[in-house]
Amino acid sequence: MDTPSLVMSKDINSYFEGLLKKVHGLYIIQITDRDGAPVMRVSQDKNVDFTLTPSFISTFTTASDQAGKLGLGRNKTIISMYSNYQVVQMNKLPLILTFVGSENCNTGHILALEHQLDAYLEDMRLAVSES
Amino acid sequence: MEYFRPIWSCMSSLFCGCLHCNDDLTNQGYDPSERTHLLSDTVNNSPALRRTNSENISSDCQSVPKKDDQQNALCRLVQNTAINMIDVGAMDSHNLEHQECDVRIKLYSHRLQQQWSNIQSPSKRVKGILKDIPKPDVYLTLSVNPEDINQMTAAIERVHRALANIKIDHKEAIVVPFRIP
Amino acid sequence: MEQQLEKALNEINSQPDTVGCLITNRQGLCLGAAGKINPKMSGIGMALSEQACKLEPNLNPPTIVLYSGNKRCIIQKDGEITGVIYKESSSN
Repeated sequence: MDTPSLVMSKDINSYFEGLLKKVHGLYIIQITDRDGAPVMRVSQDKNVDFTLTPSFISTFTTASDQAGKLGLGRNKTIISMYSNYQVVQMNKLPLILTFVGSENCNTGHILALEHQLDAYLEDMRLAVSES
Repeated sequence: MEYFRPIWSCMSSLFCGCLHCNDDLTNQGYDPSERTHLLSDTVNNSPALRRTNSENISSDCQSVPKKDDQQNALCRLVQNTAINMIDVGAMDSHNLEHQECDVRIKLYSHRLQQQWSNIQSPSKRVKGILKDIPKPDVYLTLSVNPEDINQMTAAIERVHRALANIKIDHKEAIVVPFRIP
Repeated sequence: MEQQLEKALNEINSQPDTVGCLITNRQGLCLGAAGKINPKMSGIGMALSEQACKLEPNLNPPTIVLYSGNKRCIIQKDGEITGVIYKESSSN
């Protein structure tokens, strides 16, 4: 998809790029609003044949909303395993975090990133919820 | 020890259950939020439309509370039911218009740029290995305890055996019919 | 189903100085934990062992021991699983 380039602070950007390097097999980190409009995205140079369309994200939002009604509390994370990729999505409304990695990527490590990330998401959360 | 476990699990499930109840109760609030949607929306599946619809109706509800409390209560009941119902129809997600997507991207990046322009870059951190350790020399002289290695080797072996013995105890029906009255 | 694993973990946890232990699978997801240990650290423990394996890729996975104060953390990868044990010694 042809999206306008995102301007972002060097520090935050390099932090997220560092995460890509730390987690072996992690290809993409994308932060979007609930409808899938990207706020920030970092990806490995490697040619990853996986396009994250806004509809992919908004489907997660609805699925997460519905899963929250199963009586087990609010849904926080959905992990989807595909034949070549795994997608970990976190519901941090108003933000949605999407991680795409190889199928044998360290899922536990991605999940452990959650609480480390919080401090870095504050500005983005503000930017999205201001509307 | 074995006797205590069921009691403990029972206690913990009770405790968790209570937590979930509280959670649910707070979630069931009447306040219309971005998650709010109504039964009457089966025609319009677009979340954007749904949101505006629910806002309209809820504002209607709030505007006439004095006139009819019963109506208000009914309205709340319908809304809470709608919120708590698992609506698979809503899974037909809408597609964000490409144009709107671009508009939002620009908006977000603009806002972030504004926010980040105010922030001074953080001071340079101390660099170096063991910089966060008060007395690195203490740790540098430590050697690995062979007991630890032995314990770990034995533990791994033990766990391998335990994992090999994992099997599913078939107790209940795998497919359970929904109890729809 | 997993009683055997729980029993094994509890046994490991009852050994001297041991305060917690967990087992993760190949995906860094916690299979079971006992004692004072956060199951969420399974992914990081697994990542550490994977990194350490890269030092000598042709040898067996190394045992990693991390020291901090009077506590230490032992990590060992073996095949599909990785074990993490927390130990605390009264004297250093």
